[in-house]
Amino acid sequence: MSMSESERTLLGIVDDALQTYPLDPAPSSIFPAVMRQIEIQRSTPKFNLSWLDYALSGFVAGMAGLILYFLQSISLPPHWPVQMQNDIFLMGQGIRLKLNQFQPQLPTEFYIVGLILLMFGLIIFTRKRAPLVRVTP
Amino acid sequence: MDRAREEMIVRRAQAGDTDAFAELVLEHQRFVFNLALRALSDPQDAEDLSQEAFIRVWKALPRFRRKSRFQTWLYRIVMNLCYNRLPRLRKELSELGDEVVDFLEDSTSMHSPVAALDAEELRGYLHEKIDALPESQRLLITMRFQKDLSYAEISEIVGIPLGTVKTGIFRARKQLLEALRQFEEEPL
Repeated sequence: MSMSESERTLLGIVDDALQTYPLDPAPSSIFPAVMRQIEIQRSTPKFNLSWLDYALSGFVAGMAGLILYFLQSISLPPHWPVQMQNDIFLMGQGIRLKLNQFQPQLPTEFYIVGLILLMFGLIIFTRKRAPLVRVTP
Repeated sequence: MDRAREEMIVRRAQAGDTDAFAELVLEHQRFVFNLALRALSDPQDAEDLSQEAFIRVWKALPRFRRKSRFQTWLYRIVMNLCYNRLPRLRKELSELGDEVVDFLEDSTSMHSPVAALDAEELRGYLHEKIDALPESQRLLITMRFQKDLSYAEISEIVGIPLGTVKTGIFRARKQLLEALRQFEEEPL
Protein backbone atom coordinates (compact mmCIF):
# COMPACT_ATOMS: atom_id res chain seq x y z
CA MET A 1 0.00 0.00 0.00
CA SER A 2 1.48 3.35 -0.98
CA MET A 3 1.58 6.09 1.63
CA SER A 4 0.60 9.70 1.28
CA GLU A 5 3.14 12.44 1.94
CA SER A 6 1.52 13.34 5.27
CA GLU A 7 1.51 9.67 6.34
CA ARG A 8 5.16 9.42 5.43
CA THR A 9 5.92 12.51 7.49
CA LEU A 10 4.10 11.15 10.50
CA LEU A 11 5.87 7.84 10.19
CA GLY A 12 9.15 9.71 9.97
CA ILE A 13 8.35 11.38 13.27
CA VAL A 14 7.45 8.03 14.84
CA ASP A 15 10.66 6.42 13.65
CA ASP A 16 12.66 9.40 14.84
CA ALA A 17 11.08 9.00 18.28
CA LEU A 18 11.85 5.28 18.24
CA GLN A 19 15.48 5.90 17.34
CA THR A 20 15.93 8.63 19.93
CA TYR A 21 14.13 6.74 22.70
CA PRO A 22 16.80 7.00 25.38
CA LEU A 23 18.59 4.03 26.87
CA ASP A 24 19.12 4.17 30.62
CA PRO A 25 22.75 4.21 31.76
CA ALA A 26 24.04 0.87 33.05
CA PRO A 27 24.35 0.81 36.85
CA SER A 28 27.97 1.25 37.88
CA SER A 29 27.82 -1.88 40.03
CA ILE A 30 27.38 -4.36 37.15
CA PHE A 31 30.94 -4.32 35.84
CA PRO A 32 32.83 -4.66 39.18
CA ALA A 33 30.36 -7.27 40.45
CA VAL A 34 30.77 -9.41 37.33
CA MET A 35 34.55 -9.16 37.29
CA ARG A 36 34.79 -9.93 41.01
CA GLN A 37 32.64 -13.02 40.57
CA ILE A 38 34.75 -14.19 37.65
CA GLU A 39 37.97 -13.72 39.61
CA ILE A 40 36.53 -15.78 42.48
CA GLN A 41 35.60 -18.56 40.07
CA ARG A 42 38.98 -18.51 38.38
CA SER A 43 40.92 -18.72 41.64
CA THR A 44 38.76 -21.36 43.31
CA PRO A 45 39.46 -24.96 42.39
CA LYS A 46 36.53 -27.33 41.96
CA PHE A 47 37.25 -28.86 45.37
CA ASN A 48 39.02 -26.86 48.02
CA LEU A 49 41.28 -29.47 49.64
CA SER A 50 43.79 -28.61 52.35
CA TRP A 51 46.99 -30.59 52.96
CA LEU A 52 45.28 -32.20 55.94
CA ASP A 53 42.68 -33.74 53.62
CA TYR A 54 45.49 -35.48 51.78
CA ALA A 55 47.12 -36.50 55.08
CA LEU A 56 43.86 -37.96 56.36
CA SER A 57 43.32 -39.79 53.10
CA GLY A 58 46.82 -41.26 53.46
CA PHE A 59 46.09 -42.24 57.04
CA VAL A 60 42.86 -44.01 56.12
CA ALA A 61 44.60 -45.82 53.29
CA GLY A 62 47.48 -46.71 55.62
CA MET A 63 45.06 -48.10 58.20
CA ALA A 64 43.31 -50.17 55.60
CA GLY A 65 46.66 -51.53 54.47
CA LEU A 66 47.66 -52.25 58.05
CA ILE A 67 44.45 -54.14 58.74
CA LEU A 68 45.05 -56.17 55.64
CA TYR A 69 48.63 -56.78 56.64
CA PHE A 70 47.79 -58.14 60.08
CA LEU A 71 44.74 -60.00 58.93
CA GLN A 72 46.88 -62.75 57.51
CA SER A 73 48.05 -63.64 61.04
CA ILE A 74 44.50 -64.01 62.39
CA SER A 75 43.06 -67.46 62.25
CA LEU A 76 39.60 -67.08 60.86
CA PRO A 77 36.73 -69.20 62.16
CA PRO A 78 36.51 -72.54 60.38
CA HIS A 79 33.13 -71.83 58.87
CA TRP A 80 34.58 -68.93 56.75
CA PRO A 81 35.12 -69.83 53.16
CA VAL A 82 38.53 -71.33 52.79
CA GLN A 83 39.09 -69.58 49.52
CA MET A 84 38.66 -66.11 51.10
CA GLN A 85 41.03 -67.01 53.91
CA ASN A 86 43.64 -68.18 51.47
CA ASP A 87 43.24 -65.09 49.33
CA ILE A 88 43.64 -62.71 52.27
CA PHE A 89 46.65 -64.66 53.49
CA LEU A 90 48.29 -64.52 50.09
CA MET A 91 47.54 -60.82 49.73
CA GLY A 92 49.08 -60.10 53.11
CA GLN A 93 52.17 -62.11 52.18
CA GLY A 94 52.45 -60.18 48.97
CA ILE A 95 52.31 -56.82 50.75
CA ARG A 96 54.90 -57.96 53.32
CA LEU A 97 57.17 -59.16 50.56
CA LYS A 98 56.95 -55.86 48.73
CA LEU A 99 57.61 -53.82 51.88
CA ASN A 100 60.61 -56.02 52.73
CA GLN A 101 61.99 -55.43 49.26
CA PHE A 102 62.02 -51.68 49.93
CA GLN A 103 63.66 -51.90 53.38
CA PRO A 104 65.19 -55.32 53.89
CA GLN A 105 67.34 -54.12 56.82
CA LEU A 106 64.54 -52.92 59.15
CA PRO A 107 61.29 -54.51 60.21
CA THR A 108 58.40 -53.13 58.16
CA GLU A 109 56.24 -52.94 61.25
CA PHE A 110 58.32 -50.08 62.65
CA TYR A 111 57.53 -47.98 59.63
CA ILE A 112 53.84 -48.67 59.89
CA VAL A 113 53.69 -47.85 63.59
CA GLY A 114 55.72 -44.66 62.94
CA LEU A 115 53.30 -43.69 60.20
CA ILE A 116 50.31 -44.17 62.48
CA LEU A 117 51.93 -42.11 65.24
CA LEU A 118 52.74 -39.35 62.76
CA MET A 119 49.16 -39.23 61.51
CA PHE A 120 47.78 -39.08 65.04
CA GLY A 121 50.24 -36.31 65.85
CA LEU A 122 49.15 -34.35 62.80
CA ILE A 123 45.49 -34.67 63.66
CA ILE A 124 45.95 -33.73 67.31
CA PHE A 125 48.37 -30.82 66.95
CA THR A 126 47.15 -29.11 63.82
CA ARG A 127 44.65 -26.26 63.84
CA LYS A 128 41.02 -26.60 62.86
CA ARG A 129 40.55 -26.85 59.12
CA ALA A 130 38.02 -25.03 56.99
CA PRO A 131 35.03 -27.06 55.79
CA LEU A 132 35.22 -28.64 52.38
CA VAL A 133 33.85 -26.19 49.86
CA ARG A 134 32.01 -27.52 46.85
CA VAL A 135 32.03 -24.97 44.06
CA THR A 136 29.07 -25.39 41.80
CA PRO A 137 29.99 -25.02 38.13
CA MET B 1 33.09 -1.98 18.33
CA ASP B 2 33.42 -3.37 14.82
CA ARG B 3 32.78 -7.02 14.08
CA ALA B 4 36.39 -8.05 13.40
CA ARG B 5 37.62 -6.49 16.63
CA GLU B 6 34.78 -8.07 18.57
CA GLU B 7 35.65 -11.49 17.16
CA MET B 8 39.27 -11.04 18.18
CA ILE B 9 38.27 -10.02 21.70
CA VAL B 10 35.85 -12.94 21.96
CA ARG B 11 38.63 -15.36 20.96
CA ARG B 12 40.88 -13.93 23.67
CA ALA B 13 38.09 -14.15 26.23
CA GLN B 14 37.45 -17.76 25.20
CA ALA B 15 41.10 -18.48 25.95
CA GLY B 16 40.52 -17.23 29.51
CA ASP B 17 41.66 -13.62 29.12
CA THR B 18 39.66 -11.67 31.73
CA ASP B 19 40.79 -8.31 30.35
CA ALA B 20 39.22 -9.21 27.03
CA PHE B 21 36.05 -10.30 28.78
CA ALA B 22 36.04 -7.02 30.72
CA GLU B 23 36.01 -5.19 27.38
CA LEU B 24 33.00 -7.20 26.28
CA VAL B 25 31.17 -6.44 29.52
CA LEU B 26 31.89 -2.73 29.21
CA GLU B 27 30.77 -2.75 25.59
CA HIS B 28 27.49 -4.55 26.14
CA GLN B 29 26.44 -3.85 29.72
CA ARG B 30 24.31 -0.83 28.86
CA PHE B 31 22.22 -2.59 26.26
CA VAL B 32 21.99 -5.79 28.30
CA PHE B 33 20.71 -3.78 31.25
CA ASN B 34 18.19 -1.94 29.09
CA LEU B 35 16.98 -5.15 27.51
CA ALA B 36 16.38 -6.61 30.95
CA LEU B 37 14.79 -3.37 32.11
CA ARG B 38 12.37 -3.31 29.16
CA ALA B 39 11.39 -6.89 29.94
CA LEU B 40 11.21 -6.78 33.73
CA SER B 41 10.35 -3.10 34.32
CA ASP B 42 12.32 -3.15 37.57
CA PRO B 43 15.82 -1.60 37.73
CA GLN B 44 17.02 -3.82 40.58
CA ASP B 45 15.83 -7.01 38.91
CA ALA B 46 17.35 -5.82 35.63
CA GLU B 47 20.68 -5.20 37.34
CA ASP B 48 20.70 -8.64 38.98
CA LEU B 49 19.76 -10.29 35.71
CA SER B 50 22.49 -8.43 33.83
CA GLN B 51 25.13 -9.65 36.28
CA GLU B 52 23.83 -13.19 36.08
CA ALA B 53 23.82 -13.04 32.29
CA PHE B 54 27.47 -11.97 32.09
CA ILE B 55 28.56 -14.64 34.56
CA ARG B 56 26.70 -17.27 32.55
CA VAL B 57 28.33 -15.99 29.40
CA TRP B 58 31.76 -16.27 30.98
CA LYS B 59 31.09 -19.88 32.00
CA ALA B 60 29.63 -20.81 28.61
CA LEU B 61 32.19 -18.91 26.55
CA PRO B 62 34.42 -21.95 25.85
CA ARG B 63 31.38 -23.61 24.25
CA PHE B 64 30.50 -20.60 22.05
CA ARG B 65 31.08 -21.78 18.45
CA ARG B 66 30.88 -18.32 16.83
CA LYS B 67 28.15 -19.43 14.42
CA SER B 68 26.31 -16.21 15.22
CA ARG B 69 27.59 -12.86 16.38
CA PHE B 70 28.64 -12.65 20.01
CA GLN B 71 26.03 -9.98 20.74
CA THR B 72 23.26 -12.19 19.32
CA TRP B 73 24.37 -15.04 21.56
CA LEU B 74 24.67 -12.74 24.59
CA TYR B 75 21.25 -11.18 24.09
CA ARG B 76 19.70 -14.62 23.65
CA ILE B 77 21.09 -15.61 27.06
CA VAL B 78 19.62 -12.39 28.49
CA MET B 79 16.24 -13.18 26.93
CA ASN B 80 16.27 -16.74 28.29
CA LEU B 81 16.91 -15.38 31.78
CA CYS B 82 14.06 -12.90 31.27
CA TYR B 83 11.76 -15.76 30.27
CA ASN B 84 12.77 -17.68 33.39
CA ARG B 85 11.82 -14.75 35.58
CA LEU B 86 8.78 -13.69 33.59
CA PRO B 87 7.24 -16.73 31.87
CA ARG B 88 4.29 -14.70 30.55
CA LEU B 89 6.69 -12.67 28.40
CA ARG B 90 7.38 -15.57 26.04
CA LYS B 91 3.64 -16.19 25.78
CA GLU B 92 2.95 -12.54 25.01
CA LEU B 93 5.61 -12.47 22.32
CA SER B 94 4.32 -15.67 20.72
CA GLU B 95 0.79 -14.31 20.77
CA LEU B 96 1.75 -11.31 18.63
CA GLY B 97 0.91 -13.52 15.65
CA ASP B 98 2.45 -13.32 12.22
CA GLU B 99 -0.09 -11.57 10.05
CA VAL B 100 1.33 -10.19 6.82
CA VAL B 101 2.42 -6.62 7.33
CA ASP B 102 4.02 -4.58 4.60
CA PHE B 103 2.55 -1.15 4.46
CA LEU B 104 4.65 0.75 6.96
CA GLU B 105 7.73 1.58 4.99
CA ASP B 106 10.94 2.19 6.84
CA SER B 107 11.39 5.87 7.33
CA THR B 108 14.40 7.30 9.06
CA SER B 109 14.05 11.03 8.70
CA MET B 110 11.43 13.67 9.15
CA HIS B 111 10.40 15.25 5.88
CA SER B 112 8.45 18.25 7.07
CA PRO B 113 10.18 21.38 8.36
CA VAL B 114 7.16 21.97 10.59
CA ALA B 115 7.68 18.54 12.11
CA ALA B 116 11.33 19.34 12.62
CA LEU B 117 10.42 22.50 14.51
CA ASP B 118 8.13 20.56 16.82
CA ALA B 119 10.50 17.64 17.02
CA GLU B 120 11.39 17.90 20.70
CA GLU B 121 7.80 18.18 21.83
CA LEU B 122 6.70 15.33 19.59
CA ARG B 123 9.60 13.16 20.66
CA GLY B 124 8.78 13.71 24.31
CA TYR B 125 5.16 12.85 23.68
CA LEU B 126 6.01 9.72 21.68
CA HIS B 127 8.60 8.58 24.20
CA GLU B 128 5.85 8.61 26.80
CA LYS B 129 3.73 6.51 24.46
CA ILE B 130 6.63 4.09 23.95
CA ASP B 131 6.92 3.74 27.74
CA ALA B 132 3.27 2.74 27.78
CA LEU B 133 3.65 -0.01 25.15
CA PRO B 134 3.45 -3.66 26.30
CA GLU B 135 6.80 -5.17 27.36
CA SER B 136 6.84 -7.49 24.36
CA GLN B 137 6.62 -4.62 21.87
CA ARG B 138 9.05 -2.44 23.81
CA LEU B 139 11.59 -5.24 23.73
CA LEU B 140 11.29 -5.65 19.98
CA ILE B 141 11.55 -1.96 19.17
CA THR B 142 14.49 -1.57 21.55
CA MET B 143 16.38 -4.21 19.61
CA ARG B 144 15.31 -2.86 16.24
CA PHE B 145 15.74 0.86 16.77
CA GLN B 146 18.24 1.25 19.61
CA LYS B 147 20.63 -1.48 18.52
CA ASP B 148 19.77 -1.57 14.83
CA LEU B 149 19.45 -5.35 14.84
CA SER B 150 17.94 -7.02 11.80
CA TYR B 151 14.57 -8.76 12.01
CA ALA B 152 16.36 -12.10 11.59
CA GLU B 153 18.71 -11.37 14.49
CA ILE B 154 15.82 -10.29 16.70
CA SER B 155 13.97 -13.48 15.76
CA GLU B 156 17.01 -15.56 16.80
CA ILE B 157 17.48 -13.66 20.05
CA VAL B 158 13.86 -13.73 21.14
CA GLY B 159 13.19 -17.22 19.82
CA ILE B 160 10.03 -16.38 17.89
CA PRO B 161 9.34 -16.58 14.13
CA LEU B 162 10.49 -13.78 11.86
CA GLY B 163 6.89 -12.94 10.95
CA THR B 164 6.00 -12.48 14.59
CA VAL B 165 8.89 -10.06 15.08
CA LYS B 166 7.72 -8.02 12.09
CA THR B 167 4.16 -8.03 13.37
CA GLY B 168 5.22 -6.87 16.82
CA ILE B 169 7.28 -3.99 15.46
CA PHE B 170 4.57 -3.09 12.97
CA ARG B 171 1.96 -2.94 15.74
CA ALA B 172 4.16 -0.76 17.92
CA ARG B 173 4.78 1.70 15.06
CA LYS B 174 1.10 1.69 14.12
CA GLN B 175 0.09 2.37 17.71
CA LEU B 176 2.52 5.27 17.88
CA LEU B 177 1.31 6.58 14.54
CA GLU B 178 -2.26 6.62 15.82
CA ALA B 179 -1.14 8.36 18.99
CA LEU B 180 0.60 10.97 16.87
CA ARG B 181 -2.51 11.55 14.77
CA GLN B 182 -4.53 12.07 17.93
CA PHE B 183 -1.91 14.49 19.19
CA GLU B 184 -2.07 16.51 15.97
CA GLU B 185 -5.86 16.57 16.02
CA GLU B 186 -6.03 17.85 19.59
CA PRO B 187 -7.07 21.52 19.76
CA LEU B 188 -4.29 23.81 20.96
